[in-house]
Amino acid sequence: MDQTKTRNFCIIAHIDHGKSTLADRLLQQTDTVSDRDMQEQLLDSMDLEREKGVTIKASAVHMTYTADDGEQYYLNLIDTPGHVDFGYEVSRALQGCEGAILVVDATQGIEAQTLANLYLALEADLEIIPVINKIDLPAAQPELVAEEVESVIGIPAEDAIPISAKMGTNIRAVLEAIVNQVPSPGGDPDKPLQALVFDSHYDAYKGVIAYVRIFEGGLNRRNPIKIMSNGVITDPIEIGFFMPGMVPQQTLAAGQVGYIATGLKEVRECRVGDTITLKEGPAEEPLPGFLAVKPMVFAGFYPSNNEDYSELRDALDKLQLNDAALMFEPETSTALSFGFRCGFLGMFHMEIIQERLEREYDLDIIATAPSVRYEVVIRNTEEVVSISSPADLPEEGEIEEIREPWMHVQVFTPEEYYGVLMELIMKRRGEFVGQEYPAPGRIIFKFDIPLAELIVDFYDKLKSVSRGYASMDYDFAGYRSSDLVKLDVLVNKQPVDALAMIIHREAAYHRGQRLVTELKNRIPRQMFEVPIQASVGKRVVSRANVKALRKDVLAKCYGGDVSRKRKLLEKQKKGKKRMKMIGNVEVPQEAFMAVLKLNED
Amino acid sequence: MEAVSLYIHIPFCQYRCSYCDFNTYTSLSDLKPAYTDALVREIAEVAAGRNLIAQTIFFGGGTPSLMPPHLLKKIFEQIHRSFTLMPEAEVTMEANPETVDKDYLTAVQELGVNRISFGAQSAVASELAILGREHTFETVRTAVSTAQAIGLTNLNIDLIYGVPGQTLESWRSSLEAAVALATPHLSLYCLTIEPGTPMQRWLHGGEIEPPDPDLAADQYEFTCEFLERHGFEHYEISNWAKPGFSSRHNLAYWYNENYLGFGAGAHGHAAGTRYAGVRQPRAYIRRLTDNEHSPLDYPLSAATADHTRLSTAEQMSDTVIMGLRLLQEGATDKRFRERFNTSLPEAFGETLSQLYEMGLLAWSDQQQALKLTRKGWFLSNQVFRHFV
Ligand SMILES: Nc1nc2c(ncn2[C@@H]2O[C@H](COP(=O)(O)OP(=O)(O)OP(=O)(O)O)[C@@H](O)[C@H]2O)c(=O)[nH]1
Ligand SMILES: [Mg+2]
Repeated sequence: MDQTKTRNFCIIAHIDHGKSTLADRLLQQTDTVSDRDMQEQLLDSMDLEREKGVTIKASAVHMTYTADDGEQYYLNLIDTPGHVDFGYEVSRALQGCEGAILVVDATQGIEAQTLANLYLALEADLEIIPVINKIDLPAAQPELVAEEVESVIGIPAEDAIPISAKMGTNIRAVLEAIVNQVPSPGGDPDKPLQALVFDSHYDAYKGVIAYVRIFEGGLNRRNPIKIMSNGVITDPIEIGFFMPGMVPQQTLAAGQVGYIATGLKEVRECRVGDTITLKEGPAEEPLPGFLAVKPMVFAGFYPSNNEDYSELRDALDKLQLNDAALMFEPETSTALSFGFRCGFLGMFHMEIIQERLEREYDLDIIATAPSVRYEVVIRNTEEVVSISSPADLPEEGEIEEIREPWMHVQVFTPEEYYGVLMELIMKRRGEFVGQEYPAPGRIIFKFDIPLAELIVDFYDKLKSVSRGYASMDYDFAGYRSSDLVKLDVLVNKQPVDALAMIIHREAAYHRGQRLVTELKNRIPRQMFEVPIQASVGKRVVSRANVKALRKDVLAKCYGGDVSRKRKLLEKQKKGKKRMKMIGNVEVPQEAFMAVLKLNED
Repeated sequence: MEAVSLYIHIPFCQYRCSYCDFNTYTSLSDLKPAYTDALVREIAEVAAGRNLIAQTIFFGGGTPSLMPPHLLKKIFEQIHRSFTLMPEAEVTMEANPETVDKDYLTAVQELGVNRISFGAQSAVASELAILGREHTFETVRTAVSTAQAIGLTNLNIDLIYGVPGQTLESWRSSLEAAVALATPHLSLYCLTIEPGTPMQRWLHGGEIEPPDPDLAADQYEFTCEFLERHGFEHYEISNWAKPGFSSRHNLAYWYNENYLGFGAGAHGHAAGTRYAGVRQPRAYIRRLTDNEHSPLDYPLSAATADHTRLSTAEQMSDTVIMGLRLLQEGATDKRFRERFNTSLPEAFGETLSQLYEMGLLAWSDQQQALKLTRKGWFLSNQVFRHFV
């Protein structure tokens, strides 16, 4: 294969602007997939992706295209997710490419992730091909959007290609632009092999499948390979291209994108970001790799059925194989028994993981309130400890200060939502930084906000106050000291670890009251009065009592009632086994779940 | 010779009360003669070839007092053919006050009924209405005095507390009205709203307020004290009697003794087996009319719909649970040892100490019987749960 005839590109866009649908058309137009085998968003192969209509994982495909110049070109496409939580998937995909198709929805215009992903692509030095999609829709305003592209991105309006991915309009123009504008990959086929692992998944037969971009050199299917980070040596089981299924090849050469089925059974042995070289004549240096992804949101995941603990661990292990951003470590809770503290990129990521556990592994999960990672400065020693669970917060007296992560946020919105958005931001402790008018009628708000405020349904609120028009993007700004406190919930004077949270002092009272009320309504009456309290340090901010159970009697018990009564008692006894003991108080697990659900709204 | 109690189920009612989930039907009164014949056959079948002594008989329902005397007569005749009736056996019949008059009561008395249990439920008109009862308390008064006038004085009155809309005051007035009738026995039940009843639908529909459990506790507490003042013994969780007037039939249940159940949906317990008959009266009649079947093991009949053999452990726990309902007598260790060859502490040691500690259970003087403490009276389910 001629290196000058190879083009590596990805498709980037704001969520739902039609990346995956465009990928479908490219696959069809290049006869990679026959019309008969075609289905919508073919590359979204995960069940959850298909159901939600959202791309979660990037995927790569190799295509062959005969261009207008009569030459045959080899195109490697990487489809990427649009959701902000998966930005790291995008940035990894970009490393394998020389060009990017930037899709913009003709009815929505530029949105927050359009810009965010564009900047990532520009940083990676990619050639940008703007495409304006969904021109078939009556509400489409391709000219206006093209002008927006010109004013925001600086690419001449006439260079944006108007298409309909759904109807297949103008797809060939996109292919031609790829061939003509995206540079062919560099790389010297004669140098030692340097292949960057930009993604992976696990196959029960072929082990870890590394998705690679070959930067230098090449490999033959029989060459033993070496993972540079750890020196692991292995004979690949197979090498090849995704078309979109795995199609074995004899060789992979510089500039190409494909896979190496490593046969390795441990994901640790071959990680995303690793460089693969040959055992014989290895490269001297690995490629730069990726910045480690840092989880931003943390929550305890507990099996609702305690016996499922080890299944949960296995499932998390497997998920981690193709989701490098997922972190977890064991954690115990008096209220919820054994589980894991998990770290996620954001709330959407957390939701996806939870759903995959439930769906693909048939586990029922209780998640504690999401938390961010705090930095705590210890009094006197000035030592800084980092905690991601409220349970780990030191005693109030030992704390000099608590710092929380703040984010830079950009909100992209039509003008008319200025007021309501501003109000939302201020209510969430946001600090206004500035605003821009990228195009007529459009505003970009810039502000900083604590991440903790963002993760509690900020996105949903943003969408609802702007009727879906506003979009946002954020990135980490830094840690700032805040007036944070630990809110404890006590049942009969015993703190319930699973319900503790770190919260801004001003919000503690309100939150405490809600927790107490909910819990009070859900804890069955015991044989003694049970006080439920929310406290900050030693100060009780809210309290309520579950009154003592005075009467629990089955009034009638005659001949016909005996077996019925017995069944009832047996059922109650079983129900009791599922109760969690907080001190000497029996609390149904459902009570915790209900209270934890509160965090969702 | 084996002594048993007999329960005879009469599944007919004129109307259905709003709280009732018993096996009873309002539109099947045409079946009474055929049903009687079926009962007669079932009694004959079960008792055949066994030398049984009937120590108590109880006609329950439904509304047994809707059965005309000539049909009851057939049933009694069969009972006499199949059983030796113990001298002075207690023979109870449940009755709705509006269904009986002097002639009827005289007739059943002649047949052998010597105790009547009247469903009065409340002396307050608005409560009777919510409960779906189509009689007044005046009717109850008349029925009771009519019975007393002909010498039927061993009477019970049923009342219900914890009724939506009821207050402590209105409950007191019902109790006072009931006590004034001078019956030697009172059964006082806390309302439980059962699934499938009109009352449960009203509750879900928001038409009635859910009963307040604390008010029910107050009412119960008041009742205990009020009836003690009036010379009643609180002998079972929901039953009070003047000395010597405890219901002997019901004591058989609480002693976990043997009883035979006859009729649609009737439950029985004998020979280590609990069983129940088919619920539908038509099905019941059909089963007993198809005469071809091989004899079943005692105590089952052609009408038996399901039955379980009890393990010794189940029998033991049933014995304790039922025995503890007897607040004065308790679960007696002697009786338990005679039956199971082991003492209560041997059988339930660990459980017992937990319950003493919680203050719910205590031994009578000289460790003869295990009893609920006063606190335990109110929380008996919490105690019983430990024994299953
Ligand atoms: N009318 C019309 N609808 C389109 C077009 N392209 C995509 N869509 C629809 O837009 C929705 C989103 O399309 P996707 O291809 O899943 O978008 P995406 O950018 O891959 O979304 P994410 O992967 O979730 O970021 C789907 O309902 C598509 O059918 C188009 O040209 N015209
Ligand atoms: Mg997609």
